[in-house]
Amino acid sequence: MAKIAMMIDTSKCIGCKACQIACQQWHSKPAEDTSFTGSYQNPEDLSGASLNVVKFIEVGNNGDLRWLFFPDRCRQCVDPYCKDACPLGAIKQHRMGFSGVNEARCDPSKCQMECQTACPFKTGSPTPMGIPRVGYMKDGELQDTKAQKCDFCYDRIFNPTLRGADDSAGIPNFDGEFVNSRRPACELSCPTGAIRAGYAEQIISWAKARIRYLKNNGYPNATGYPGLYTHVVWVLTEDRSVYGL
Amino acid sequence: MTQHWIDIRNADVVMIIGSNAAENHPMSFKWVQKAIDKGGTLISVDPRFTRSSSKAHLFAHMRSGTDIAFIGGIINYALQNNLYNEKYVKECTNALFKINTGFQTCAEGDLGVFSGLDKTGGGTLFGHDVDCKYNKSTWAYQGTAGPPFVPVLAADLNDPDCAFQLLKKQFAPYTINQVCEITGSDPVVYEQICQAYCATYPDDKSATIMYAMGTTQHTVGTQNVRSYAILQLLLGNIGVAGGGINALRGQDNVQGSTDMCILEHILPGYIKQPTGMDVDMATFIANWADSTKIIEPAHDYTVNGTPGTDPASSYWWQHGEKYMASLIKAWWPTEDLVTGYNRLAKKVSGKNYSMLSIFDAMYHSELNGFICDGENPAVSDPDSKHVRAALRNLQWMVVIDPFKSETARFWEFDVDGNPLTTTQMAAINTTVYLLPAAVAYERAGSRSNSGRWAQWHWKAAEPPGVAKDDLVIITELGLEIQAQEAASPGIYPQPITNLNWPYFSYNSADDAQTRAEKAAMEVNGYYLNPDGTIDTTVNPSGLVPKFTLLTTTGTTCSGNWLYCAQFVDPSSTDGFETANPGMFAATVGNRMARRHCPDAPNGGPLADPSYPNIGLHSYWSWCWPLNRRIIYNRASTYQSDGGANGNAGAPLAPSKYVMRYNGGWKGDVPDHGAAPGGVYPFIMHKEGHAHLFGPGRAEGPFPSHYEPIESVVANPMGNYQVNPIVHIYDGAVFTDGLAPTPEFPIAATTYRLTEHWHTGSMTRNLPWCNQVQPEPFVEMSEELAALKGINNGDPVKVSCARGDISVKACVTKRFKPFQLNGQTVHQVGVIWHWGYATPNPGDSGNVLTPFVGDANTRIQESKAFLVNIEKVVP
Ligand code: SF4
Ligand code: SF4
Ligand code: SF4
Repeated sequence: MAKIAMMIDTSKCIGCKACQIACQQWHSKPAEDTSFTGSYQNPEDLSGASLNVVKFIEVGNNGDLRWLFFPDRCRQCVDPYCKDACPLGAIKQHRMGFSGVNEARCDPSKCQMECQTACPFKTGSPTPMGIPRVGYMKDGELQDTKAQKCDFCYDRIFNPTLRGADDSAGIPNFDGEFVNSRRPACELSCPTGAIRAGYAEQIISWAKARIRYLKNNGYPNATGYPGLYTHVVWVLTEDRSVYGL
Repeated sequence: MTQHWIDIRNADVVMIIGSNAAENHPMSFKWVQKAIDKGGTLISVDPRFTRSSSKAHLFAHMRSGTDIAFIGGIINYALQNNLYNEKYVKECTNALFKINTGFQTCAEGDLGVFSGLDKTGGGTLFGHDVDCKYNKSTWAYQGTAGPPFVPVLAADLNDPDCAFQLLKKQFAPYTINQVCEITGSDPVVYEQICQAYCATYPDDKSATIMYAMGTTQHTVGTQNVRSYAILQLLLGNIGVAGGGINALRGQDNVQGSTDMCILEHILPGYIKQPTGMDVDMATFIANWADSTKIIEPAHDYTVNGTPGTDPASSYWWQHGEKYMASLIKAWWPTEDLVTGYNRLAKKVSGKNYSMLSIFDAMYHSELNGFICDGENPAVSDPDSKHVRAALRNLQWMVVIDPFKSETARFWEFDVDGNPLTTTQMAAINTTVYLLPAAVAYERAGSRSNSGRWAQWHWKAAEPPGVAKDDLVIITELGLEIQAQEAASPGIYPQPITNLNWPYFSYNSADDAQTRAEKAAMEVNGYYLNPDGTIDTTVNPSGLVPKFTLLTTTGTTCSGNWLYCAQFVDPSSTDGFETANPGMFAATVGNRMARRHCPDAPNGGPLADPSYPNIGLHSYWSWCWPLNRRIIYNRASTYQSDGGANGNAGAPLAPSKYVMRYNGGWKGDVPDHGAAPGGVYPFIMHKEGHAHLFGPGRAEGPFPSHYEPIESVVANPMGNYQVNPIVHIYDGAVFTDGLAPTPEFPIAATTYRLTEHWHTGSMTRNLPWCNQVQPEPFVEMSEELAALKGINNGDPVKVSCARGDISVKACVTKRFKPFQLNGQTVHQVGVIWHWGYATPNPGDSGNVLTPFVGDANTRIQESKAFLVNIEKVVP
């Protein structure tokens, strides 16, 4: 079966956080405690309530100043390390490639968060952690959750109660300009079209074309991230080190 | 907007100035991004590097309040380097009109002001002239004494008396270096911006300007917009696809409420608000014609239906009487027009009724009651503490809002936002009535977006509890007032008792849609019988199909002529609508409910294969006037023979043409249907030409740079520091920025965030929005923070002559101190979304903003004032 993928084009991202709240809303996650700490970025990192957090990075100075936005979330590995590591078998991979936590099986009290330890993509500071997260702060108290990470909105993209473009094929047509509610919440809410989901081959070829275009049009350091082994790919306007990746 | 949102994608250059569109209008970036994808250039001009700047090819820092200098420099660059569209300028603007020889620009005579400044009755503020007036007798076209008045046109643009040469003279001092010493921009970047922007002067190129409150909320706000208009006219960028000057409205129906007369000086449809001097309809029409005349002596092309000297000037306001008569008939259909006119409340001549003046009157106990519908002035209005204090002088206040806003709860707090004790509360004698209102998704009706599209929307959910649709609240209130007035009549009950109020008592949840449609049809207008009932002889529903059919005689009514054609009888639909019966959703004839998704011009898809589909989407919703998506669109075609490019009526830009003439107009709805050359494109002016020279404004026919009321920079452009026409309210508090050691030496501005909306009364009650932007803050440069010993995230106090707020510091490279001719000016930005009445309380940036407004409109000067900053040591 054809695999699907998602591309996040940071050259089009305006840091509006629509995708961040849409993700939180679709997954019925509550707001967590935050405070202003000197950046537009809030909450500061992924958590049991925030599966997608837009990171704000200021680099350069004066005429060379750039303000970069990076919607940070699970990379959706082709071979998810988290899935292999989970002793309870709580992380499931769909045959179209993406993975999600089966909350009925997940029980953080019975494991050592092996998924988090195994995940090679560490985010946050001062102690970077793997992406699946447990818990969040609410009204000053730590709230328990199951492990949480992006699930590619599987319950949107296959949801027959949402309006799809190509119902007979059982999967949505991601590529059209037309109304299509069966897109992932983050893609649907993005005002600039920075997030696009679709068949992996199509998405990867768009991402490559976009990087080539950007390199020749004002972004000589444009690059892809992370590489070939994930179902979510970012088009970055700067070298990944600039993003702290 | 002269255009609409989608049209931004057609621009070759997009300049965002006085707006942070990515932040405050994120959806607009869908179209900005499409323009960029097609190779377009994005220019961002702002006091700080913003989310919009993050996507810009060119970014210029600009000190708040220096837009006229910034744009004036581009105008000068275009004029000095012959980068203007000569044909367009000659044919479509008043460039060739000769001006009275007594007229002087700001660059001659008394430097910094135009001829005719009258200081009698004026005053001073810190030694600077204010409250002056102009005698506009020299701000006039040369011409034969009328009527009819015949203007004298210059043979070419080199005539020293023509408007074009005067414009050149006015802006000659705005050289790149001079501009950058005022604005603080980098001269190299500034010149690149001048080049990129002026490169759109050829016929087939266009540039658009996206602006918002960063432009308008200044004591020179109107002239800031004028400077954009002049620049766009010089480059031939008005009326064309991807051009225009585009006011991004701050909420989804500001356009609609403006059209429907939320402003004090107009009635619905921009009809002049009559004053006590307009004793009857004839006097009103004569005075109105007089006030729209652009010059002395009387300039009389076509007034009151009497054709003037120039048949190509269609001067649309000559139809004003039809619209006024139809409005009166919409309100009092059973009365004759003479009586109906008398029913209309009149303003006191010369008195100002703007928000500032209302709160000034409230503060001085000249107002007893206040209905506050969907506003939160305790957060949004300047010098908020003054505003909050004014509310205490009311006897009663009605607040219609989904949430208990700061305004609704003012009596629970002192003006600083600290809770009051029960005894203290009891000392406040204002009775506050709270009427819980539905939010947009809980009601049906139309909303007009920035692009003038009136889009119908349907109710998605029932309002919670006892909350009600605004329309229901207002109509119920009307019914009750009518009943009480009838039961115990006051001095003059007829305006109320005889008012057309065709609503029935609220009885079912489904009532909202019916009520909204009823109101929309009344706004559209009906044919009337002499007794005021609907005349159904022309068509079964009696709806007037378009405003050209409205009359002066009382045989039609229309609540707003601009919206006539939004709701039509099925017999009046056009060919494409008739051929597509699904067009109107459930409600036949409601054009606002049209949801035809594919791009199609007026009349449906064109057989012409070269038609470029510029995103008019003419059958999605409906827009005023007459569904014209780009106004002044005749200017997008050749006025006279275009030579090799085609005949008159051929498009200037074939690759993105708005319309073309081929025996008839095809494309967008033409701005006047006459054949090419038959009518000048700028039909709202008597002379049919757009105003490079625009004497209608209070402080000059051209913009001139003045400093904000509070500024630490001495104005280098002449002898006047501030706009001399600005009105200073008694008791308003300011600081002297030019004092030897100013107490408040830091320039400040205010703005909003994507994560919150307006006064925050909705979003601060939404936990997700609070989570992503939990507290108010002040943004400042690293340089200023170092000077003040402030670290990123520290609590700080921002103070000004009017008060102070405590917020967190956001120290960033995105702000930079401005270097102006050896003077370093620091600037900070405060957010104004917060207040004391919700979770995550904080205070509004408007506690700091000065109580002073633009000389024409009295919009507040929230974008440039002075503060000081200190670290709060716990
Ligand atoms: S990025 Fe981490 S959490 Fe996501 S699939 Fe890969 S290993 Fe699992
Ligand atoms: S795909 Fe769904 S779960 Fe994943 S980041 Fe987007 S909204 Fe969140
Ligand atoms: S919704 Fe789109 S533009 Fe907004 S932050 Fe997410 S990716 Fe960026």
